[in-house]
Amino acid sequence: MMETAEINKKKHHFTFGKLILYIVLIVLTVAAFLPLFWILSTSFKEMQEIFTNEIVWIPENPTLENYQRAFEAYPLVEWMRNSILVTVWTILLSSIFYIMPAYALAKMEFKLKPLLMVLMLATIMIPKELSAIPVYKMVRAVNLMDTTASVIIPQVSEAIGVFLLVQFFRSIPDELIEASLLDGAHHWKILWRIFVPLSGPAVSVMIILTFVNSWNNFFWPLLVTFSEASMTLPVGMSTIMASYSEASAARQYGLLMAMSVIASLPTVIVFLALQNKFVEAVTSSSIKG
Amino acid sequence: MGSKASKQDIPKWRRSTGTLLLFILPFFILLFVFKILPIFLNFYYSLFEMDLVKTTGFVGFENYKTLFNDPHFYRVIRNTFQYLLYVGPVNVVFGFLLALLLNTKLKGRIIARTAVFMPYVLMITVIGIVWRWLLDGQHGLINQILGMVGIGPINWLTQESTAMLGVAIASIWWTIGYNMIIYLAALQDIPKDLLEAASIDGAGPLRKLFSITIPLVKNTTFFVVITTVIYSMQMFGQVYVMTGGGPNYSTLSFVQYLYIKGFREFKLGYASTIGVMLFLIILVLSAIVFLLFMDRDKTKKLAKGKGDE
Repeated sequence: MMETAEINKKKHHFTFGKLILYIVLIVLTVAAFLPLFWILSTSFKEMQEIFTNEIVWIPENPTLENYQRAFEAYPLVEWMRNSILVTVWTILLSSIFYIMPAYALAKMEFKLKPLLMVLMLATIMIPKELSAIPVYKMVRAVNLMDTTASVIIPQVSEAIGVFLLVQFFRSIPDELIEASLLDGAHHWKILWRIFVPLSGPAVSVMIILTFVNSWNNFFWPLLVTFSEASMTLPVGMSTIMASYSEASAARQYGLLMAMSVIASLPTVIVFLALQNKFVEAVTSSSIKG
Repeated sequence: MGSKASKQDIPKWRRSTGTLLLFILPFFILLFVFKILPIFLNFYYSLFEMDLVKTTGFVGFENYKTLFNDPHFYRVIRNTFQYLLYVGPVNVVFGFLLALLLNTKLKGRIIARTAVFMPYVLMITVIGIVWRWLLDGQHGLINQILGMVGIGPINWLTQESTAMLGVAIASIWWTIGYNMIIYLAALQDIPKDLLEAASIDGAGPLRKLFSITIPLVKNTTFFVVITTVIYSMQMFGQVYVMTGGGPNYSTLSFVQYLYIKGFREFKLGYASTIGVMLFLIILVLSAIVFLLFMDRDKTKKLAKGKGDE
């Protein structure tokens, strides 16, 4: 009782402090949203509204011209298709390739287990650029340069996804396995029929992480794709920026903002719809091992 | 973990070799081919002179010698540390302060959390493009806003003195929400009664912050500092899109230099050497951060021990 009284008193005492906190909160929210708002706003502006010397917050005559030009001037459809292909395949393959070892690492005993765990941890800590040149040479050696496969396959080796699942699988009781084995089921069946359905939360966190990382991946696809038809969205968009000088780039901003909206929509929608899952994905992947 | 299992008899199902191989092999083959083997190969390549099609020959540490005499290499190190200096403190300190703010019971804090965290889900190309537009010297929104209070116009990305600052601002906007989220999770783990007990004992908000909150989120601070350092060393997409490393190499980053040497000039041996140096620098910096936090841990334990008595 004393406590609540104390707290209530405090609340009334700090109204001025609270006011300041609210002002800070609002300023921060506006500042953080501003660039996002600016992307959206610019993408619907006419050329002359983009290049004025006064600020036009909301376009007077909203137009889809920038979107139209984006599709006409660049192989945007192909980039989108490649991005979708890469992401869908990465998610599918990751789901299979991460779930299986996670079961073994969580529930089975073998001599090499500690070593494998350490190796996995090491691959998370070591900068990814270190593997770029050797893997690049491998891709060239097997003649897969400039293909979607060369973007996808090396991506399906992220140990963090396995770690997330191992942690969750450990919490599923052994009795479940033992009872199923007595009933004549195999590990394979136990994994897919019992473990995976029980692990909805962990699997969805893994899929969200894989989705965002794959959709946004830039460095690796930049290295292995070079014809416009095989590029993903981030790579394709970067080539537009790289090929314009400062002055002529300015002419492209309307179009580039339209592309940015299109490229950001998938992750932003998933983020807004599943914000708590997202937060979980980020915080749980930050706790190692 | 391991000792518990070895004490009791391990049931047979835990050791089914066939299942093990089936479950373990596919992933670990990929991990070995794409993550583990390349690390060793990269060290190996750094001892050769090679381009895309052929390996000219074993050159020992010649690539390292060349790198240590390469003025661009020192420029890259300077640039990368400059970037870390701009981004690191802001990202850690303000990431923490934002989390503190959003951990108070304010209306609309979910909206604020959404706003601050959302940039993190955007791709780096979009971040780069948008900020190049926002920081545009002539028509950029930032200059227009600054112009209203009589500042500028500043040619953010086209002059040496401000280019890296512009890149840093974009990066902070992109990543600070990540740190905030991590800190927020840590703050929510602090037992409420601990803070309430302190209030009853007459501790003010600042005292509580420094004596309870900050020490209790120390592990999180360690994580945030170390990831900020590592990611700063690997910065690439921002400068690739925003400045191309210019003007006059003032924003050329470590990974970008690796990219140029390896994938524009196709000097793969030399680029591998840059990769090795990046790895070593990250290793040393991580060790320093680790030691800094270890030390504090010890002193804190000592202080705690005395306090308990």
